[in-house]
Amino acid sequence: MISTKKEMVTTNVLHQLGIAALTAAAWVVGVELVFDLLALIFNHNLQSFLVSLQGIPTTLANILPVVLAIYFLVTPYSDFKWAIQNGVSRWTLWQGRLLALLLSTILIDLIDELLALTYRPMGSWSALLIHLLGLLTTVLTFQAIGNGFGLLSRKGKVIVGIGLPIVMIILLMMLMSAVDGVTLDYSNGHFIGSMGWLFNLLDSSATPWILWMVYLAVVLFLTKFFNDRMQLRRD
Amino acid sequence: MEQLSIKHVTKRFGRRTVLDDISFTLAPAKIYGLLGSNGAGKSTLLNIITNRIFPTSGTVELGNENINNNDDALGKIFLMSEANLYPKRTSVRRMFDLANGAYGHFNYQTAERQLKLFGLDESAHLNDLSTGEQTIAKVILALNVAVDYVLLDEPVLGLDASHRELFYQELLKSYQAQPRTFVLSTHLIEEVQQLVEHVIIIGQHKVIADSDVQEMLDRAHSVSGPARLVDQYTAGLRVLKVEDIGKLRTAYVYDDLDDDRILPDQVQLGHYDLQHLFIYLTNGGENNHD
Repeated sequence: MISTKKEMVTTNVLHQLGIAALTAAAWVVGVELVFDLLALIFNHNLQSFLVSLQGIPTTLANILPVVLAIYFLVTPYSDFKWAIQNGVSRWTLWQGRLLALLLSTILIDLIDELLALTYRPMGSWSALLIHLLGLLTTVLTFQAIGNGFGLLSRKGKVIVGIGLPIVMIILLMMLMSAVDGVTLDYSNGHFIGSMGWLFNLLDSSATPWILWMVYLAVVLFLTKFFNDRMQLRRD
Repeated sequence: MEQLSIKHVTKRFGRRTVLDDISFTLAPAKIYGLLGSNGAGKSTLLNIITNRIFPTSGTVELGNENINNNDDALGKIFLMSEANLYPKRTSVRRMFDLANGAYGHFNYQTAERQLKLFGLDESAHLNDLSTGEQTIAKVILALNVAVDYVLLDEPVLGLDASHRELFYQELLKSYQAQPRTFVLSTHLIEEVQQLVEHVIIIGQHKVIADSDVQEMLDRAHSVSGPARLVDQYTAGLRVLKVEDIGKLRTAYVYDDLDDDRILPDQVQLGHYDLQHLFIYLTNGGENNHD
């Protein structure tokens, strides 16, 4: 049974997210409409205007997942503040936000798919599932990052916010140059030496799912780990 | 109602110790004063009690349960603090609704009466209000939330004299209607002296006094007269401060006066108030000579 406090957290997150999504959608659609109307005024081409209007669902389908991910990136600390002011424990906050994340991800994925029907046919069930899981993983990752940022002061956020992407890029470049130096004869169907197990593993259809589950477990752990350490700051 | 116990709480920010092994107990249905100089760690302590920040060591327990991550325990404690923890554009009404959702049984009827009394609109957004009006909104919220422990950190911040008076009256009414524990952390000691039953004073990062107000005032004596006689009379007593004017001396004693002590004719005995006792205790205490 869902507790009153958990329900309150979930409802509040969905309410705030709804407002954020509607505001973002209104702005984006509004700006797009203004540009389309300006084009119509200058070009007097009604056909082109009507074609442009058909692009609005695409824009919405693109913007809603972005709003969702950004919402869970920027709100952990502000949610923590009002929750702790109202005697909500960190555990309940984590559960409530996670529930809201799952529900909102499913809802936005559904809206996304419906909007996408205006410009492409419906995909297969497996494609739909992969799209949903992809969105869920992305949003969870953003929440984990957001929860981590929730522990930092403003100064800390600036330092990590700039430093972390730079470190990631450097690591990625190092990894790419390391991989570039390795030459393996993979095309002949036989593997060289002790690396054979790795290729067999990568060849398995279960591997991506296992990797995804491990990644999801790590991300979930991080959201909880950071959430449990959040405390009120004076900045 | 269970007791709220603060057990050996220490808080350090980096190398700076703000609270050092603090222990005391808050009993049910009592009005407390939490006093301390600026930066003594009162707000930090209240934030620890409500699990907003973690202590470096020590625990806070309601009954036998640790309050950390405990919804039931946290649902019995409410802290009204100077900081505004609500999202932007939160209306006063929304604050009430959130408290009702989380703690249950919010007293809307009294809250609405108090809003009229203080001249505040429930649809007003907290961020749009002045400091004093924000304090009023938060105080009304705190007085009507259904919890056993209401902690008020600077509850009269930015309030003018008439609104402060109104607040003290409403606090007493609320307490009489539903006795529960109030903790007032304030610098306006003179104003709360008549209101609080028990005082906890924090100084030098520790609890330096934890006693009923009347007991404390009964031990606060001023001894005035010729310096030599005052010194003779106060020998062996805990003298917090000594003031000299010409050959006359006043010693501010914080101790029990035993019956064997004979008061010389030229020496006068009196009492001093809580504010001065607080000042003398937190200024280092023993034999502070001016």
